[in-house]
Amino acid sequence: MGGYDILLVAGARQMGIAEVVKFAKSIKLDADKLLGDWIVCIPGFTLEKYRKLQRSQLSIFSFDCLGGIINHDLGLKTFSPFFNLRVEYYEEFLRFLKHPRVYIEEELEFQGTRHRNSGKEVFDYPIYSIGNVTLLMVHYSNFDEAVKKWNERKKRINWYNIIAMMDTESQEILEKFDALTYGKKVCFVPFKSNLDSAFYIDPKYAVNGSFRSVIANLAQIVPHYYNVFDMLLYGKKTPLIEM
Amino acid sequence: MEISGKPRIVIWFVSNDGRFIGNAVNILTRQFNGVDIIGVTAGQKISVNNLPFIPLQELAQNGGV
Repeated sequence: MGGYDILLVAGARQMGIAEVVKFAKSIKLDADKLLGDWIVCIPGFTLEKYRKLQRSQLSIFSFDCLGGIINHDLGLKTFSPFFNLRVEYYEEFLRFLKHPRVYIEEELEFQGTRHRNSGKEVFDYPIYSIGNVTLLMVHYSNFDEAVKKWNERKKRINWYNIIAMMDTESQEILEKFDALTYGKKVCFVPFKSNLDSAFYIDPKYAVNGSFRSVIANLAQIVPHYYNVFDMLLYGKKTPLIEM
Repeated sequence: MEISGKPRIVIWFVSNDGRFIGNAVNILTRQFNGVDIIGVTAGQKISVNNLPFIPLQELAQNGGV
């Protein structure tokens, strides 16, 4: 038997590729050859683009969990502290995006807790701030873990390859976001716009009339609307369906 | 790593969730004008469509050579 080019991993969608990579490395398998079968099925996939994306060490600055979910679904390593958390207000996120290096140097300051009852999980999660930006650590019941992960991940930011990501229903917020000096920026909106950073999502997916409710499902919806590989690699809007 | 010609693929069954594997193989086949499935692997010995079973440890040594 000769060597192989691809080790196509079947049945790891739920656990995610990170666990498989960890195990593969422990037995000295070539982790660069791993490829999750579900990733191949994401619309727009090509092996060349995916490998390029893996090597690019992309940092996603995301307003909420969406960036982390996309990162996880694509089996990418995490190079951003914006993971399993959300910023409280859009204006705060815009403030952060204007001066990220200043804010990221701030120490987390504990602000209190909030109760979470998602139906599946019930717990209190911590709220921290960096300067005047509030971070809701919505997926952490362990406060020490939240701080540890934030501090670990912020050291991994790749300042040479960042994509800023958020959503809004407001034209004004969109315009402020679009004016930011990021090479790659994506703002999901429920209205059509000619701005480069505006990625339209049909609000018909909204539950109870709220676009925010779409966001919870956005990680599943986005790959059907746009080529996520073009989006993350180039910040490019490549619609996959007629808008 | 650039792949020239048909990629040589080993399928690693991590669990028995086979929802994506068929489509994934079809997509790769289309994109590369064919693939060579040279074997399957898993934590325990399995039998899939008469493909050769390659133990993980063997894959780890010499990249499967």
